[in-house]
Order: sequence, then structure tokens, then C-alpha cells
Amino acid sequence: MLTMLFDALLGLGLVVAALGALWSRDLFRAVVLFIVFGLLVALAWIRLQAPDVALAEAAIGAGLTGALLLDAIGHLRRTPRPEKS
Amino acid sequence: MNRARAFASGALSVGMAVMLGSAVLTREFPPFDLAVDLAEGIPRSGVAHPITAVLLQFRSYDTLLEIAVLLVAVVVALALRDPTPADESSPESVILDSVINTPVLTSLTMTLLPLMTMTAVYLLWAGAFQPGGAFQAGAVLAALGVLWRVSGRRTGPFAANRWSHVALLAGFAGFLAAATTTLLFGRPLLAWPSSYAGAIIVAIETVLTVSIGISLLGLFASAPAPGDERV
Repeated sequence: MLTMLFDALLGLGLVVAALGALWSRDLFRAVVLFIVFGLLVALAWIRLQAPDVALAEAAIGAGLTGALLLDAIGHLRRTPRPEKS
Repeated sequence: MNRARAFASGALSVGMAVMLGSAVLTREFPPFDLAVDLAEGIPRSGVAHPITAVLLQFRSYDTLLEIAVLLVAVVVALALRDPTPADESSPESVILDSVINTPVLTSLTMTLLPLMTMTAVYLLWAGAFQPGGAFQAGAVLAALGVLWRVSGRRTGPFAANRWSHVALLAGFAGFLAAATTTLLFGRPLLAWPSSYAGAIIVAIETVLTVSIGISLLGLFASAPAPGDERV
């Protein structure tokens, strides 16, 4: 019963984090939500009894990709936005 | 125009969902059970953990190609990187804007350095009998490298020098060498004898860990520097 509740919350959290990452106007918030999404996916992999995939997801999907995306945001903020023609 | 586009994408999504659903509902199960085959093969694989056995023994060809793909990606990223910042000649000019110079980050990095190194080694070693292995250990090493780099140590683990290139290549080269050496003894490609399999797999995973770590860090490090408008 408790595990089903946990799974339901996890699934709900996944969808909310994914939608937030997709629709957020603030890029920084989108990236943070993407990292949250990656960590929740790792939890989901553990629930599916695939700890190997969970480790890889947490390290590469959430960690490194998040760092790369944050780096890209820093890059975007420093370059002036091109005028829309 | 906008409405037509929305309608088209909606129709495409619905069609895709229907196709996926029907594929899931009408799938046929294969006449053999891979899990049983795998469980029977574990004793002659040289390792105790089924995932590692699949990755580096039964389907090692796939892993070899994956490493090759990763290597090609990093080589392309390095080739596209801005050549102007000299890594060693002028230390002043290479201080990046992205460097976050706070005592918190610096001391945190110094604290995490031994811990993360130990975690990476543990993950590598644990891969033989429980979840872990070269990819995970390499990712931890790469994360350590990213921290190291962000906290301002530019010429650390990924200076563009010969040693980092050797470390980049070592994984694929070592794996390929191990894969083809079997041919010399009249065995098929990648079919190492089961008495040596454990040692060979651990050796391959060790070089792979270093190479994967350097590769992932290389992808991060070859991103254009902030303020570079030529991209």
C-alpha cells in the first residue's frame, strides 16, 4: 500500500517535473527542474529494480548533463541577445 | 496556418500513440528466456554480476562500439573547440568567466576530491559483483573534473596536452587490443578464455573508467568559453 502510494507520487512528480522543465520561461528554473527530473527518473529505475541504469542516469543524465546545461545558460546570459528581425 | 499546424501535430501525436499502444498490446514474446540463458552463462563469464557479464562478456561487441562512438564524439568536440586560449603559455589569459571563485566551492572541492576518487574506485571494483562499473565510475571522475574546473583549476585533469589525449584513447585502444588478441590464438573476436576472463574484464574496465571520465570531462571542457560570440 505504502509502496503503491510512493510509486504514484513518484510518477506524478516525474510528470510535473517534466512539464515544468518544458514550459518554464526561466531557463535556469527549467534546467533545475530537468536535474530534478533526472534524479526522479533514477529513483524510478531503482523502483523498477534496475540499479545499474539508476546509477548511470543519476551520474550522467542528472549530473553531467545538468552541469553542461548550466554552463550553456551562463554562456547565453553573457552574449547579448540578437535583435529579432 | 497556426491552427493547421496544431491540427497536424495533434493528428501525428494521436497516430503515434495508437501505433505505440497497439505495438505494446500485440507484442509477441520470444520463444526463449534470456534471463535463464544469462543465469546459466554467469559461471563461465568471469564476473558475478549479470549486467557486467552482459556488457563486457556476452554483448561486449556493443560496448566496444559504444566506446568508439563516445571517442568520435569527443574528438569532434575537441576539433571544434576554440583554439585561441593557450592552455599553458599564458596563465593570466585563461582565467574563465565561468570560474566561481568562492572559498566555499574551493574548500568543498578539496574535501570532495578524495571522497569522489574513492567512490569512483569503489564503483569500478563493485561492478564485478553488484551494480557499478566503468560508466558509473567514469561519470563520477568526470563530475570531479567538472568541479575542479569550475573552481578555477584550469590546467588540472583536462589540459589539452599529450597525456590527456593518451588517456582519452586508452580505453578504446585497450579494449580493441584485448578484443583482437583473441584472434591470434585462433578464437573468435572478443572471446576471451573463461579462465582469464575475470582479470581481462577488470583490466578493460579500469582503462575504460579513466577514458570515459576524461571523455565526459572533455565534452564539458570543450564547450565554448563564455563571451565567445563566434559560435
